[in-house]
Amino acid sequence: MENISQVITEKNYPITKLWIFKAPIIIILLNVVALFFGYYFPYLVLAIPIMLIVNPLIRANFHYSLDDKFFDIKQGVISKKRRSLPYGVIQNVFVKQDLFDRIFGLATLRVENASQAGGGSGERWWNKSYGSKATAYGQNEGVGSSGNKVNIPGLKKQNAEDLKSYILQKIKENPIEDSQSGL
Amino acid sequence: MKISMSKTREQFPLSTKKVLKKTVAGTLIWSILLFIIWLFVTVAVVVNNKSSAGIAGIITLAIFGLMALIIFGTYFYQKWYYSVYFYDLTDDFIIIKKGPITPSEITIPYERVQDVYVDQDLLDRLFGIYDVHLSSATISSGMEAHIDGVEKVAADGLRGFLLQTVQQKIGRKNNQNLNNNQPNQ
Repeated sequence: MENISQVITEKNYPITKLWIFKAPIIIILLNVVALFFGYYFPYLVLAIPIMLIVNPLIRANFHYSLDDKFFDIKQGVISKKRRSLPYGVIQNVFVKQDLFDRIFGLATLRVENASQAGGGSGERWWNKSYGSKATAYGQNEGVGSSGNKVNIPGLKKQNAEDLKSYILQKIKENPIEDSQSGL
Repeated sequence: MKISMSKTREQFPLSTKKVLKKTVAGTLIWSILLFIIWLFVTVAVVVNNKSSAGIAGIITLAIFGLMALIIFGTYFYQKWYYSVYFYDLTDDFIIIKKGPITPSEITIPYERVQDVYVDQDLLDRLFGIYDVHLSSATISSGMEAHIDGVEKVAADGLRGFLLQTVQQKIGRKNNQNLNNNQPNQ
């Protein structure tokens, strides 16, 4: 936050490269543990090379910027999505760390508003999961906007805290005029 | 263990009974299960061979040792949990942070609070402590944003403070509204 008038983007607080390897490392550890019991998870192992290709693409195609009115998110490798979240309607801000994050000093920042499937969570008839617990509460730890939340995983702990306080400041500067829209 | 204090926690302290309550809640079923297992196993051993006081003794020791381990383990974890439990009602936001190993922190602006309620479950009633819940319009906030294990004075204080602040914050936008229904202070 050197210059306050400068727009904060993912260049200031990037998703770390380590995030790419988070899921593969967890899968490898899981398999190592399972091997002690004479078992392993072949499908999870197959997923590792796919993740190593897809994760960098997701990371490279994820952009956010904290404009003066909107929290702007652009994402998507093949199908693109852009979401503009007014600061006034942000319901709550999370900073979470799971065990992996704690060990490597990472954190996930999550911003939620009150819309259902806001910005289109990519729900189609073939993956319809409306109201399921998985989408409702944190089970799908995606990158970027999905459902009513915007997830930014794999930030450095300090960066997540900075970004959080920056967003909070923006919420304070942009109070809602009425409690309905915020736009 | 160093307790993570905030102004709010000083004013409305978390009850130390919370540690006990959580320990009881977390270990009660395990203790009962282990006790039943111990009962069955010792009876079976004693009935089957008459000269088995040694085996029965070892089994008793093992099972009650395990029970003690579970109870002490839970107790120390809960003590740790208690000491890192952080909540602060700042001027603009409500901050609640919990979890010693995998911390999660939620920040809610006062304007977005949808409701505040206080409840007790069975064990809470036995220990005389209360849970203060507040939630915004999201599902996850309902699960994360609660301050549990405060005594009656603190629970009422927190509830009153929250309601008053929320009303002030909302009322700031339309003043005539605030004048019409003042909070009963």
